Amino acid sequence: MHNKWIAMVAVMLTCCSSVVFAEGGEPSIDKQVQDLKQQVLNLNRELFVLEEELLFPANTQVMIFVSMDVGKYFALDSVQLELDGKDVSNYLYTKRETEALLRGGVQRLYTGNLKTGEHELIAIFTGKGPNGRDYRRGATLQFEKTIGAKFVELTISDHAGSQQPEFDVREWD
Amino acid sequence: MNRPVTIRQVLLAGALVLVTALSWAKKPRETEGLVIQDLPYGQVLYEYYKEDYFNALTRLLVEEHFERIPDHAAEAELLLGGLYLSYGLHEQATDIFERLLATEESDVVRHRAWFFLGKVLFQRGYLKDADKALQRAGDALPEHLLAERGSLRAQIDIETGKLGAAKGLVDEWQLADDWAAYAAYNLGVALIRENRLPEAVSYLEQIGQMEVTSEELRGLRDRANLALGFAWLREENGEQAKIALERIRLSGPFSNAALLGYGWAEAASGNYREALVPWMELRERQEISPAFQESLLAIPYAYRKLNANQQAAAGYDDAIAVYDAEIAQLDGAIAAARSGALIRSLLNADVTDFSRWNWQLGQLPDTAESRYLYEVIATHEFQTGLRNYRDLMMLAGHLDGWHEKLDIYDHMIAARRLSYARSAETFPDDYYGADVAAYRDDYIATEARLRSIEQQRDVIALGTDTEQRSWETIARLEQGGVLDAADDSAIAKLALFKGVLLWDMDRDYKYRLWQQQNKLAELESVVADLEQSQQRFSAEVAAVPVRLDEFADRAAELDPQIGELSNRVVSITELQIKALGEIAANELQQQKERLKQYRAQARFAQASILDQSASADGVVQ
Repeated sequence: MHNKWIAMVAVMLTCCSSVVFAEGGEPSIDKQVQDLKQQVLNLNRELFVLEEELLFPANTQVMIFVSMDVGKYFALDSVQLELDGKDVSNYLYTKRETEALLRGGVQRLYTGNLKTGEHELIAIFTGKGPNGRDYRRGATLQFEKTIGAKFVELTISDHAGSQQPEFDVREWD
Repeated sequence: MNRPVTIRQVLLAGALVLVTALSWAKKPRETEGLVIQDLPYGQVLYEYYKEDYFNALTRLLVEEHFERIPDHAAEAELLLGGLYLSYGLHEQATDIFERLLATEESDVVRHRAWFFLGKVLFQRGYLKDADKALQRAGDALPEHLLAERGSLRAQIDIETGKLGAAKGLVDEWQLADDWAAYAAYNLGVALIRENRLPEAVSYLEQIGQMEVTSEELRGLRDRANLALGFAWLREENGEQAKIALERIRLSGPFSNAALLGYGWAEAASGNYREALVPWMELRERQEISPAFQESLLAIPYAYRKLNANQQAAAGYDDAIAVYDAEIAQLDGAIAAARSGALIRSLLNADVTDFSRWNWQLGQLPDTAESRYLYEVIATHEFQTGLRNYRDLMMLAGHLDGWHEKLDIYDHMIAARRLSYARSAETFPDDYYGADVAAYRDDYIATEARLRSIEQQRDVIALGTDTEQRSWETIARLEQGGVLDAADDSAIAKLALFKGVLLWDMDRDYKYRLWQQQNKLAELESVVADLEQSQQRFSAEVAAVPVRLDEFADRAAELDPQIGELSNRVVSITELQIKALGEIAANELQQQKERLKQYRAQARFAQASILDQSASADGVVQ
């Protein structure tokens, strides 16, 4: 019996360590899955390119992005977008999405088409402000759409002086 | 024996998977605070930070196609390689890092490329090449990559048996870093395997007693104490073993093994009565685990050592009954695994969020067979297969989505064709074009008139309206016979006035000609712009059917590819399910063999008790 539990100890040690060490080599199904993933990726790219060219030609295209800087004074729940008086997007964020924004990612919130000329964008941000209170703020941008794609960025940042969040809308050339 | 799956069992399986995933599949902490110069690049990072590698990869490839990330070219290439690596496409990742190293001159990029190349080579099992690449990455990497580099190099040394070198690397480290903690743990376990316990102790004690704030590191701390405890047991040092095992959380995923080990530690010191306490607790838990199964043998073993043979015999009876029932259940589970039913029921209970690459099962289906899967699921081989399965499901979802979308786009293209045809019927052919041609004619006539004025030096033609009216009046007076009745002084005045007028017009001629030529050039520019607009408009209009045809052709070309790849996804998924079934069946078979061994030992011990009892009674001859 004594020998048995010593053998068991060896088994336990192997169990402890084997799940930690990486293993090399790839079975054939792995290789097939890898090849397939690459092919679907290539196809996916072609389809996205086709979709964008078909639905959002460069001359009329407008894209609206959201980014966050710091986020100490504001926890984002949702963003509502109005373009020329029409609701075009109402987006609720998950924890994973706000974390991705806080790490420096930029979300493409809306893609659409606009004629050349003057337009108005209104963004309404809701979430929790300082001290966990409900917070709702808007930001507006009047902009001119010319021929060619138009990028607009909605930025949420912290204003250290006032200890309040700041909401900014800016055009990208 | 049909026990329901307890919350603890679910936690145990989840925690095992978690620890497995966090060891070497730990995601890199990317450079944060990067200044985004092209918004689409930020969008790729957003997908990446969400751990949605497939969409991040697609987005990056699409943005590169549209040339929308010109200011992040080198970073984008590095990210592409990193994404391929994260998505399990190691060959593509290797190609990218090698290409970057061949073409990129920036030291920052080259250092990172060497690092990621080393990482991908490590994952592919090329340990020597991986180590060379990691060494070439140098020490100028960002802090988080330096830590991971150290961890990888230590692991390579461990796996190639260079434990001294691994010790050198780990000893240089500050243990505040997570990577360092993992490296020290792995080194400690490797030293135990080499029977170098005194050296292992220092590393495992550091991990086993470290202050932690995250669940991940709590798990690692438990594992270190477990490894240390059993290592001391192997040395028959029960007292040291108990110290390590006591540090393991009673509610954690390693508590069963800790209880079992603690009992053996007491037994090693001859404290069989004390050994029964943790073993009884373990038996009460009634969880399917090697520790529980082992406890069924350990309890009667302790009773026997305490000369409580009757209780020992009863304990062996219980153990044999449990083993018999478990073996029968395992037979059913093995058959279900081989037929694919077990895996399908497991996969049907899978969570629906396929986008994350590292994941855990939420809950196992509550069936008799699935209770045995907790051990199976924790294995690396099963995890790899399960990850493939999830990737395949995600690919199938994408392909189905595109199939539906392409149907919609086909209808959209048809609608646009119809709309164009109707517009062409209602719009006149010279729409927009006629006015532009008239402007061009006006320009040509004006240009000819000005050229004629210049050739003839027609100063009068460029006179002001007043001058021209005066000139015409003089001409009328000269030609109409009015001067016949005029006196000489009037004629002289008229001649003087005519001379002054002509002199003035001649004096201003060059300036006026220059002015007119400028205006003509402006007119030419306006007409040319109009003509260009008209040409663009005409080209746009004419291109509509061509473009629609092109879209339709591309969609028609892509649609069958979707179908073909969907079929391949289905067939490879079937292969993967079958392979998972085989892995499960083999693992379950091992569980069964272990139980059979336990049962044999129980029977042997039982016979031995009977034999001893019979000898004592003087019955045996």
